[in-house]
Amino acid sequence: MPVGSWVIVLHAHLPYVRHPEHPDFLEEDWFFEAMTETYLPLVQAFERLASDGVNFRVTMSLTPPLCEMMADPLLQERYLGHLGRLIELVERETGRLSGTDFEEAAWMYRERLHCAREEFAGRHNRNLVHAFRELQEAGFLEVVTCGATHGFLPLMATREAQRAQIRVAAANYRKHFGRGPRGIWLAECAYAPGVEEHLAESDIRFFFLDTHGVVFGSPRPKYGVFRPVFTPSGVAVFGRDVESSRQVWSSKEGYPGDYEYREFYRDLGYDGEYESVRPALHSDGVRRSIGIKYHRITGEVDLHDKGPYRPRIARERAAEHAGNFMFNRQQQMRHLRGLLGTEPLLVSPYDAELFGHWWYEGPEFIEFLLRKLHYDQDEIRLVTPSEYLAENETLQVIRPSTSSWGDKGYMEVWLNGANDWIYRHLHKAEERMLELARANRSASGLVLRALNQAARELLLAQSSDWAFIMTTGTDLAYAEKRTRDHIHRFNGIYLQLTEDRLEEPWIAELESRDNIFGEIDYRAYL
Amino acid sequence: MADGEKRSVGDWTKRELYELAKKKAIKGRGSMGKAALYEALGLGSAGPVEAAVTGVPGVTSAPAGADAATSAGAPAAAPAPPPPSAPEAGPYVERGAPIPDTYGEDKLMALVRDPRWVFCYWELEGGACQRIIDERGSDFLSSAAWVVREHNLTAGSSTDAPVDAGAGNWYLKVEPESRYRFEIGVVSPGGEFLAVASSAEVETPPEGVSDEVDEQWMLVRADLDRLIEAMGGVQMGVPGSALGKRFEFPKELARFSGAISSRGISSRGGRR
Repeated sequence: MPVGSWVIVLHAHLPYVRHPEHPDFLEEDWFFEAMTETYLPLVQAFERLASDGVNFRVTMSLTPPLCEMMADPLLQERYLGHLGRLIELVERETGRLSGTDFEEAAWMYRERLHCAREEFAGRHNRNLVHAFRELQEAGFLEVVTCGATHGFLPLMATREAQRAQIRVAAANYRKHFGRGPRGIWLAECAYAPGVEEHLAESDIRFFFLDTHGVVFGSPRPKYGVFRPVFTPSGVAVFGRDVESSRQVWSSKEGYPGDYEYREFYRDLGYDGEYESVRPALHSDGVRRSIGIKYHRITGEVDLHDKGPYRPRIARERAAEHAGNFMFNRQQQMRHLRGLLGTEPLLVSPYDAELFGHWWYEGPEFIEFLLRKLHYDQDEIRLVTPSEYLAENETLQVIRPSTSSWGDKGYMEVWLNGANDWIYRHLHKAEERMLELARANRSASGLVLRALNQAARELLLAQSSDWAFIMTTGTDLAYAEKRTRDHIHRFNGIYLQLTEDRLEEPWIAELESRDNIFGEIDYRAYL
Repeated sequence: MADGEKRSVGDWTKRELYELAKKKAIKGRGSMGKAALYEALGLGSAGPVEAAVTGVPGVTSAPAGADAATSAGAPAAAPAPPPPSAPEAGPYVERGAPIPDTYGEDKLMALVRDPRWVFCYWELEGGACQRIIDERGSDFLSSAAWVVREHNLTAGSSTDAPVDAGAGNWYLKVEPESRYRFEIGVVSPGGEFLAVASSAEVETPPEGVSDEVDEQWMLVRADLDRLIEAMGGVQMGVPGSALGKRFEFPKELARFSGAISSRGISSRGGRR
């Protein structure tokens, strides 16, 4: 007897990092690690569920930069090389650790890495986007898009630039998924009034906001965040539920901190004997995390006191937590049903990388959860946003409030002393791009190529990731480099175009390096 | 840590460096990143720096190569084969190609940060200052005080916020749910205001639940409060600070803007 509906959203995103000019580049690891620990395991889980006849629904946002990286031959090739080096290492490790408490974990890595390589190279033919597409076409996933380069829309200077992020994203989605996107995950759920008009123009029917984006909207939403609402332009908004987030995100109250789960900070890259791990490190030989971790959290203990990781026990814990999570959602739904007088809809979005990369057992947790929802109960109904909207056509109309799901709820993470310097440059580039597009409404040949490349450089400079990384300080120099490089390249193209002295070799060089969006059309800025 | 004890660029926050640069009137500080400020202040080298840039391709006859600046990139500027013990992880040194300090304009741009703060940046390089000097004499300008004049269009009031023109930007305290327009200019000792640039209109978001109610979708305030309580309160952003120390990553390990993204790592007061 259904009490309520549930939309689970996994937002998968990485900034576009691809450096053909170097044979080995540190930050490309972000992609390789997420592939191994999050995206491939999630696909495996979904495919197992599908073939077992489990009727599940998950909403996935796959951002354009991530899709482009998954589809890029150079990164595919490098990923295979990366997997190969890890596999060689763990094959030695299973021998070395034979008979010890760490043997189980070593074999786990060996099996998983072999599996990852076989499926990646074999069934998925190196492009994981296909797997998501198939799952969508089979009805289990709803894949939504995101701004072209995960740009932070409220901090852009012009409506045209915001709109271009949406237009380019929609075209890219169509390339990868064979149809237009029905929904979108705004980067960081960052919203300011007017954004929804760009969505409507691209036929996008829904988006997501943080709780207060809906709850502080005007007029007051009768059902809080527990039913979606329409904006005046007819685009629907789904607001995030706080309680279901807390259990997963919170380190104190949440599951990922359980003592049986894998400890993130002990890694073979640091702990292993140098000559043995050296082939799996980068060419500079510096010890870094390589994703082979043998310890469990154990407790509030020092790193060197952490106990061995026991995959089987961790897996059982994940199953327990999935059961607990489902039980709590049932309680929550019943309570809300009583309060609202109607069936509530819970919307629970998470960063996909939380499952697998940060919380190693995350994908197992999700798989257990989806199984239990299917077999063990009938109160909660999993749905996709499109399904829900098809069944519920009458929604309240409200004007949402400016907001984001970033720390403190607004723009501060992307606008503070660490990163505010970038905006004058990004805004100037926006103005110039509009100028270029308007002056060249039907370009061809080298001019067309230059305009398209200028659009790429602007979009790449606008990745909100750079501003974010500047705030966290985790890889500050890289974020500054990317911002400056793309602004510099954009300005260079701008000058060459306005002074009518295009240099084909330079344009070609940029095309081969910053090659995102092969299909881009600069007229997205008109 | 007392100022005198700070050694490397990593010991400073960007805000601290900026404030010091302001005191020392370092030019162009508004568009400098942290490492550039550190070096401009003469505190030392932020790290080995790539050779100076030869300029924008096409302007000089720089060789083809996407950036005249550099190519060494990642730590992959392959050093000699490492000794048996692993080398220390050094700072990533390449900071990207050069970009202009200014674009030669008179401009004021306002960005809403949250219900109570607006960020403004400006440029005063477009000739308006020269026109003031031509018309009123250089004494006028040097005896006048630079301000950002905030026009609260909702309240129908205006205030002046004194600013340091050379800073290039400022954070202004504002009211929630209000429309604003800003001007930057000088106020003479006699109280005369001459604007140099003005911003477009912006609107700050509300800080709480709306007073507006839809008759068709009636919701009494008390019921909404109960609903919000059932939700566990309105939590701004996904529980980030809750993740606290557990998920606070040292520089090497945390590279995703995704996963922990806004969550695990608070903005540390918004400044870094």
